[in-house]
Amino acid sequence: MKNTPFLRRVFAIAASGFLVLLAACTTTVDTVEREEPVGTRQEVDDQRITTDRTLGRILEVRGVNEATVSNDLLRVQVELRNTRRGLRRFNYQFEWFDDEGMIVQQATTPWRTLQMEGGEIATITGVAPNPRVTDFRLKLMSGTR
Amino acid sequence: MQLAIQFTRPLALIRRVLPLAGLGLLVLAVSFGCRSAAYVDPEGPRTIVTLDDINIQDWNQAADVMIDSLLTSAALEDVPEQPSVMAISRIVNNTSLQVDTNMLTGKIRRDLNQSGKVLTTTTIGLGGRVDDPLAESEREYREFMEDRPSEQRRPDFTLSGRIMEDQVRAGRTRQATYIFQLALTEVRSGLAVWEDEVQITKQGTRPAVGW
Repeated sequence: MKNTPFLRRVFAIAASGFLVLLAACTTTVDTVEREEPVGTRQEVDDQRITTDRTLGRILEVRGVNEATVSNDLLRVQVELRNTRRGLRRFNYQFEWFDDEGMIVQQATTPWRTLQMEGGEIATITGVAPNPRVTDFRLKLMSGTR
Repeated sequence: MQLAIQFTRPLALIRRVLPLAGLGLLVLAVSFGCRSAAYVDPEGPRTIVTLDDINIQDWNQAADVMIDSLLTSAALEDVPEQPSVMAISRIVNNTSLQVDTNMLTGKIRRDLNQSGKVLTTTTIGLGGRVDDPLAESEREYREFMEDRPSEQRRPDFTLSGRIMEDQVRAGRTRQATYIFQLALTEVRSGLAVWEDEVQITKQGTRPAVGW
């Protein structure tokens, strides 16, 4: 019982230290952009399958749009926002499909790493491997490295 | 009496916590320490990350970014005859590592070939070094037998580049950056029609498996 005030003091110091550490670790990004964007985006209606609800809350998919590059290659751009106050890492991978819904294999389709500061908005892009590609799927997961 | 109470409570606590901690350690040891060899996806996020090497995922990511950039630039489109022909030139390794630059160029070649935008030649190489000597000797044989030059397409573009590294340390934390630079040169004009750079930075105190 005699130790209670001492323990309380230790606990208070530890808690404030933890709060200072927490404050030091949280860095958020402020964003400024044109009120009405000039560029016209060809938005894509998306369907989402969420298996990791935590990731779904942390990473907000703000929009998906597509364009054509090199005359006939599909290019997809996805805008993401880290809803948390601290740095987070994510992994993502694009998969490509032809007009019959069959997957189009590539020599290289690695999971890419994306690092986002708190509140940061980032865009990720993928370019279809060949002109036969008409569709895509984006896979997202919490950062593993 | 008070002293006795103060000593018995922590002891009871320790007695209760110890088995739980032991169990936790056992679970950790089973899941990490006794991990046996297993196959992992080389393009997946669970590969080993080291600071002193260019890991397989680094090559993959660098190649993937370069391919996207090259295809987006439409630099390969501006040729009289489609698809264009590309030859691989020198990729200078300026790192302290002994690496096979084909880890980068091989993936780029395969993906560009599959895109239908460009064909890569295997019978024209830097300093007469060719990837496929049999095809080259067969072409020479045919030229000799038919007594006329073959219709071998010469490259419209060459791909050259450089791999560099930057290593720094602050206390126990080390940081390694590997820089991949590539340039696509149009042979006729000698101008670089596309250039890009990918930087991969890794930081840490010890190697890690990506989970």
